[in-house]
Amino acid sequence: MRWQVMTGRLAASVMSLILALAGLFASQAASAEDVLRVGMIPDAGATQVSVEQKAPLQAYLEKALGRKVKLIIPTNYNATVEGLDNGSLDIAYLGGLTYVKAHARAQVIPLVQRKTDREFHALFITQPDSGINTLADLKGKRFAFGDINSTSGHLMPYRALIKAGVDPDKDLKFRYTGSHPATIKAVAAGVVDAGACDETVYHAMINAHKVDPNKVKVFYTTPAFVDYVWVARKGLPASTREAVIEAFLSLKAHKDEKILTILRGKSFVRANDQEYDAIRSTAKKLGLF
Amino acid sequence: MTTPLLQVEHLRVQPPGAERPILEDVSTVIRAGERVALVGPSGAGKTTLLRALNGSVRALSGRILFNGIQLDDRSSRILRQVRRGMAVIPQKHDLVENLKVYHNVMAGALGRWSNAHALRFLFWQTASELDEARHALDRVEMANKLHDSAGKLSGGQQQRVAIARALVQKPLLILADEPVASLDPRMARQVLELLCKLAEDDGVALLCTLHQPELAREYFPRTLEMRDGKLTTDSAGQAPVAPTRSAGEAPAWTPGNA
Amino acid sequence: MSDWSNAWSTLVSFFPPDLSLTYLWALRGPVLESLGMTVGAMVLAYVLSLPIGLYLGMRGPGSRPILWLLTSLRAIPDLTLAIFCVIAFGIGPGAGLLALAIFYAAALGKVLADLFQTAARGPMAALRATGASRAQVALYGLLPLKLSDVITYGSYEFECAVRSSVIVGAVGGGGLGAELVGSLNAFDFQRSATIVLILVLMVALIDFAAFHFRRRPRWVAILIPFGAYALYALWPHNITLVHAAHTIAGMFPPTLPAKAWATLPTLLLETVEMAVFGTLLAVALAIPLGMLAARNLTPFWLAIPVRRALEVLRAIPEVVWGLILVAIAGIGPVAGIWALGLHSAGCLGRLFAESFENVPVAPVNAIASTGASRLSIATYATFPLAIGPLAIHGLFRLEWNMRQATVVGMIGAGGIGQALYEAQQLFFYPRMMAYLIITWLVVLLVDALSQHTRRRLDGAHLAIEERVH
Repeated sequence: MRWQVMTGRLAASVMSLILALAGLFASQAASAEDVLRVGMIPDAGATQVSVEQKAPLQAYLEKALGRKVKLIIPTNYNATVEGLDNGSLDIAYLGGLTYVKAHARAQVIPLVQRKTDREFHALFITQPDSGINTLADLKGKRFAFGDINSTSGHLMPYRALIKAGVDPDKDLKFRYTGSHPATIKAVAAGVVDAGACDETVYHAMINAHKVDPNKVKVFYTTPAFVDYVWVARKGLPASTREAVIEAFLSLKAHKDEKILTILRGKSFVRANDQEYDAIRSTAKKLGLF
Repeated sequence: MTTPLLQVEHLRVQPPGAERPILEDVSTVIRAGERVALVGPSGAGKTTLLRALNGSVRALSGRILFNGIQLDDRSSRILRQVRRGMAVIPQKHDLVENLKVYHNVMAGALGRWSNAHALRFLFWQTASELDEARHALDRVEMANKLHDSAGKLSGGQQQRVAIARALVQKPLLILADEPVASLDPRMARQVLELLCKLAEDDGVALLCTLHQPELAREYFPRTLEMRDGKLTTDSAGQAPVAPTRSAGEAPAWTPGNA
Repeated sequence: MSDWSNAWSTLVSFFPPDLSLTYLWALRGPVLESLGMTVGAMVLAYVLSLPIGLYLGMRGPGSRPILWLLTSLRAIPDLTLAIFCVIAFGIGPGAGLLALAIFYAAALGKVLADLFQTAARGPMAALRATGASRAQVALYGLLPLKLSDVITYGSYEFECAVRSSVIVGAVGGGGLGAELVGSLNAFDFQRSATIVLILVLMVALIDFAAFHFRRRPRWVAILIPFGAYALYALWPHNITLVHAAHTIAGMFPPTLPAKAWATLPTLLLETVEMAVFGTLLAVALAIPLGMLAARNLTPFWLAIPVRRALEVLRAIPEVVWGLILVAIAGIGPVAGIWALGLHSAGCLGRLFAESFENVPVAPVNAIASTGASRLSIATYATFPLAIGPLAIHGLFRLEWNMRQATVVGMIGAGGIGQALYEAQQLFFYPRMMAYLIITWLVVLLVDALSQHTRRRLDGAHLAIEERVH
């Protein structure tokens, strides 16, 4: 009998907990109206905390555009593109290959990019004592690509490997880690023998001591290619697009250091579609587009 | 002088799964307000006849006319119209035990209620609806059980609720399937007296299956006897009984007042 | 050798979980999103499935095609549905909610239809005899007659839905799932451990609530306003059906390039292997664990902790085990087999324990009266007597794992699931659709084979019980 009374009380407290949660929930729901939804590919891991680390960027955009901004980091590149296509994202940050696909599927409009994106490189990294010094040494090794849609984490390294006579499908035991930091950490931890990643993410992680510099080394750098770009969805008003472009172009070194660190760049320039023709043809050739 | 309420003509019935027809060439007429007992040994086809009358089992051939409507179980509209005028008191009472007594009693009104009305009554009952249920229960001396859960009632009480459900239906004909089969002789007489009195009060025809011929003779002016799926004797030939009221005067129910 | 030490050091890096207040506070949003998704989806699923279940229970015209549709919907795993919903309705918890709602509406619709068809015939016939319409008979007969069962099975599905909410989050459905994938991708394993811990607690909480709902069905009503609110708050703000239709139309006709046809048998074999070996692993683990958890075989001081351990194994869904194991042991079918095996061992362990407990007493006593030890009683009486139910549980698990093998494939365990996921990621939607249809056919085939075997094992009476995975 006593036991029943007790469980009854316990159950009542569970119910009130649920109701309390419902209340909290109410405070969480942001009004969907007039929020600019900004999507970022999960190039640096997509956690609640990483969204919060990007808070200065959000604050800057809100101030520059005069409206609420919500940063959303989907769990993969594909979801970002579909989000642009069905209108659940207004502007987004895409890699080169993802841009090419998003342009074809959803007619997204390129806005701006970092100066470095015009001449970007992918890095091949390994452990210092792995004995891997050239691409040819990779044969038979465990290898990490980033996201399957990544330009610097998959497409361009893939091309470099083919050119060096290494067929990833036959000669490598490869996996997709889903992001550049994951690739770098997987190499540092020895989970794989080598990997390919984005140069800016690599240097940012080394500088911030997020990875031990004694556990990784770069053994090959790809030729330059065009990579990341900020885009707008097809239906976004031109005035909003211009405001976003203006906000990025007016970022200045020294003055906006915090935001530029988050974006891993020094200054921004306008972007256009023709730059990506080379990526388009490479992707087609490799069967990724 | 009175119009026939129910006409059965050359009915042959073979329920699904049966190897041969259970009813063979059954024909009879029941007039409005008439009280008829259907007797015969078990397996004679009494229950099957009742089931065929309200369209629960399909006829191979023959036809059933109820209050001028020909029963057609392929048309759900006609089927419902016929069933609305014909209340069934099943042998096992068949209440929905998880519902209240008033739900079960007012289930008799479902045939004239809209779906929305039925849905509303499940959760919210008006005073007049509860009064109607209480009145019906009062007639079977069960008014104090109105708010009980049907599952808590004894077998005898459940039977009375099933009778109240039939009353709420305001039928022209009550089909009672072995209402006294599981009762001791004293209780059996009480139940039959109650049924006959209620039928007489409302001027409703009553067709009741029994397997004790002596009870049939005592309470019913007319007895039909069944054997091996055929009607063998009809006492009406010897002692026709004048029904108390005609179908035209019968209360509440006419075809089409849905 | 170095593989093992690597795996070990990775495993160690999950501990201790990050229980700092700032992180726990940062997780409030995802937790609420996941809970909201679950409750909102279940409310919607009931609203959709109850009428369907009643209609099928009444055997209305067209029941067969509807049942067939539900069965085929059920053959699509929750993760795949979530991918579809993300494509059609955008990223975020709205898509996750809709995916869960569709998945559980189909699951519940089927279960409810089966339940309603077992309703007592008498009261139903009596109601029909009053001239009541089909809908009225359903309302006054089917629903009250089966209400307690409806709530019982609903509460089991509710537990599953919490786990699923994390799964759909992993592909863009928001909530804890997105957070888990993010933390694993960032090698933030201590935080991943926190999320897994929270998941286990959430499942335990729901389990507890569900237990009370089963005893006091009226309390379920409390969930309705919460669910309605969650539906309102999480509803995708831009359901563009035109876009959804256009995208889905773009998946047809399904096509596979010649190269993909060539690798198809290998991929299928890998997936089937994962399902079969995962199930075998689970059975191998669940027999001893089930014995240790059975109250008639094991003293309570051992049985109770073993039960708790089984609950933890069960609380973590295959996909989450898969994500963790892929991070620890690297990609490949081995991670998939272990992912399926560990979760299934939790489920089967509990069911096996119950089977052992339900063994008839007399033969066991007969053996015991010879002075046999606990172990010999178990091997000579309890185990042989329980072998039938054990086999049936195992077969049901195989059916379930066939679906899940595709799902864990998507997160890197290989097989057709991985091919499907890569095709989707690369926007090769006709190819994805082709893989989807092939997977779906294989799942239906395995279901049919397993059903046939189960019938021969004469376990039809367990059919409904077993829906509770």
